[in-house]
Amino acid sequence: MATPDTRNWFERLRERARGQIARWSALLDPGSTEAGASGGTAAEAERLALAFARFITGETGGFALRRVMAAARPEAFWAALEAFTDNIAGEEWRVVSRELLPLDEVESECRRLRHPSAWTRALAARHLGLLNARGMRASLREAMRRGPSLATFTAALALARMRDREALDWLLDHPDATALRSRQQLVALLKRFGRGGVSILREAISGWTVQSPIHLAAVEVVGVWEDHESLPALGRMLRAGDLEARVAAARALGGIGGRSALPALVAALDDQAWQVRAQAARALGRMPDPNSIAPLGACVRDVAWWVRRNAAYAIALHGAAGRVTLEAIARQRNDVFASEMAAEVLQLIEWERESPGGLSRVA
Amino acid sequence: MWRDLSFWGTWLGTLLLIYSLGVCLVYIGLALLAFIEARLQRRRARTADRLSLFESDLAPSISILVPAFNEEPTIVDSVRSLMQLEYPSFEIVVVNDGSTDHTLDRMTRAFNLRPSRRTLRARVPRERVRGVYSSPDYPFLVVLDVVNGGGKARAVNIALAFSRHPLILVVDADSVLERDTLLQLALPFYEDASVLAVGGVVRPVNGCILEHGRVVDCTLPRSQIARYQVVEYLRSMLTGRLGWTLLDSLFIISGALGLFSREAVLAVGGYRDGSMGEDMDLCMRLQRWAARNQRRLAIRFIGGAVGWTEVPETLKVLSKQRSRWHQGLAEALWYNRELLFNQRFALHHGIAFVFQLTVEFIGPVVEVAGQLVLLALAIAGKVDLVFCVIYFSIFVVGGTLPTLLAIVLERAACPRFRRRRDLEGLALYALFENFGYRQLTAWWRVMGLVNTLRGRRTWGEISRRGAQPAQIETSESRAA
Repeated sequence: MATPDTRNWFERLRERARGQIARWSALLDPGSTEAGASGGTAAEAERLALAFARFITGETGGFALRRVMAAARPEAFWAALEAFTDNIAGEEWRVVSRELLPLDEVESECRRLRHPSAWTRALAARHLGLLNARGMRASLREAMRRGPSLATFTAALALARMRDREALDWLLDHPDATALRSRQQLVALLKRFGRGGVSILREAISGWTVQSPIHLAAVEVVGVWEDHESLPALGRMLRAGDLEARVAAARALGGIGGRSALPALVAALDDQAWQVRAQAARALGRMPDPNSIAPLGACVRDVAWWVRRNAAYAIALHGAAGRVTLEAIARQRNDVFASEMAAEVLQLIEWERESPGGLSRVA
Repeated sequence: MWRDLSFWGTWLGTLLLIYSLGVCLVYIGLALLAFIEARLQRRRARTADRLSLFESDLAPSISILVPAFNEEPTIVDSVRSLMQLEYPSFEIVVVNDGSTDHTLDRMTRAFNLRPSRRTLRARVPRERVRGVYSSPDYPFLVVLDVVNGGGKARAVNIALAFSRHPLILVVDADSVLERDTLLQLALPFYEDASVLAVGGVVRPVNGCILEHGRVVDCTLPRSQIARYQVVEYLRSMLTGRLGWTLLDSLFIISGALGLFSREAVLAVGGYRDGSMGEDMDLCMRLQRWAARNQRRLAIRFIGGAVGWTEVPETLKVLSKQRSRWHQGLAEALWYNRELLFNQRFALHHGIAFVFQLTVEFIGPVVEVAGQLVLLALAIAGKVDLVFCVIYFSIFVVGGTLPTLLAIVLERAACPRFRRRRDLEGLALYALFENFGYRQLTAWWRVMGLVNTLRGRRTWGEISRRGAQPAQIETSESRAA
């Protein structure tokens, strides 16, 4: 005889089976909203993004916006928010966030930051990162510290967008947490902390003893933000760091530019590693200075293809003086590799007159 | 019931049944694994940080290598289509592999090509390179004119020497990529430093409607032969590869759509010159390299990254293609036999190798031999009806069920068919292919095996139809 518990269990099972069957049949229906990347969700998200735009332009109020968003399916809501917040910043972002924070879906997402599933935590962190949810920073930091890698990274991205310096400190103190991430991804993460985070990065790169992906990314980011105060630390790194650190320092110095970076970069053209020489040559192309043409000219005769290439393109960016140097190298017959490289770049300079923009794009 | 079979051996019949049942179960198992992988990939896509990938300087740059042999009707449209891909930084290197038609002339006129002085990044036989061309209007396009010989592998190796970027995408000249395909393929490289290669789904473009080098609608092709291939591609190129990705044992990335780390490709010696299965061989060598360097999940397959290619519509061309594929499989397995239960590699690599050997390689032989024997017995009037019913039931169910699962998987991973009747048509062809088409392909593959044993090589060539006016006409008539 079935007890009420058993009956409930059967009821729940039946409900779940029904739901599953409905999902599968929807999947096989080409016109349905459930298939694959969910065409229906995209259409709904587009409609919701319009609602956001109407709110921002003052066409509708906060109450109407909340009502539309509360009625939407969660995945469409987050997809719309993602598409919309990619294009706004500052005050607009704060205003939209303020209106959306009271929504049940946002509160649920905040609770999901403590969910046992790492993926659910990561997705919740990603969603909350779309809002300027300063009140949720503590929960996001907890999710970041708890890990694993995916949850740590998405929570860190959310906190970066909120310019959370505590999160930046933690990431730099725990390089293992992001050790599996690619350099580009870490550079993107650290860039999201904005210029305000540069002082922390500068301090960190000055006192390193270990080398990890996030530290190398930090070196590149001070270059991206053109932090002149980091020049001494970068110069030291370029002279005495490990290979990866020297390469990153050369790139960063190229980003910062200015005459003060020149001596260190010119010196790096004599580095024993071709990777460093190549990056230094490229960096010198970004800050054309007549004094660097001669050392770059010597690099066009380097044994490594990348050094020859970067040096020749860097000289090309030095204008008429650079062209004269390249023509002289191209005329030489004692080094075929150097003259071929110079000829390649000279041809591009020639074509540049006909169709401008090509040289800078390729260089 | 087994008495009638006793003269040719009960054990042989039983073995055939067990083998067929085993293959059927393995394919169903792979399909289930593929569903899990597709679900995981959808999850990952939801947390992916695509915005950062688009930021300048951060996206890993890509060299798109396009070997082309007699592609006059399609080459200009293909290159234009590649130029429209959504990705921040890429170059296109086309290799005119000794075409005997006007492939090079068409490109020269269309892109204002001129002889270029581009330097070589690696050593290649210079005498094979007849000319290097670039365009002032398209600084990211390079066209190499090389002497034919050595197959696609040598053409790609030459293109590698002229390419500049850390990632290389090898595509067929007739491939049509979707706008976000590069982005989808590059994401794993961006997110995980240990990734060496990423493959995407290749689907037949026959029957699709193209506008400005872009697939805007997908329907079943008119040609019966192409329809069978639509079904077949879904089963083998979507389900199988997603399933093996989950097991970290993917041994093939299609030559028509694969993104590789240039450094890794060079580390394993590039493409094997003259190889007929260069894509599988490269993938297996990369797996070996990854295993030695203790990199997990270094080779992946992304269900959402789609490329379209024209498939043969005549039996003659199809037979040559299938024969060549089987020869390629045989070569790749032979060259990489080290993977077979070698202690230096993981157990899953051994299992995947055994699958390739016993199911993909020997399968057609067993299938053809079994059905020929049954036919001979039927002609002699000595066949056991019950055995026949059991065998053909397993054959048909085992062939149809994984394909039906593949159709469902298509809906979950990369839905492109928009009409119910197309899906119904696919389901019907999943059933029909068991009565003729499967036997034919098995026969062609056996012929490929015979050719391999005899040392004969058949390259074959697909005649391209170009802009496909018939398909555009279809779309117009449909709209009307």
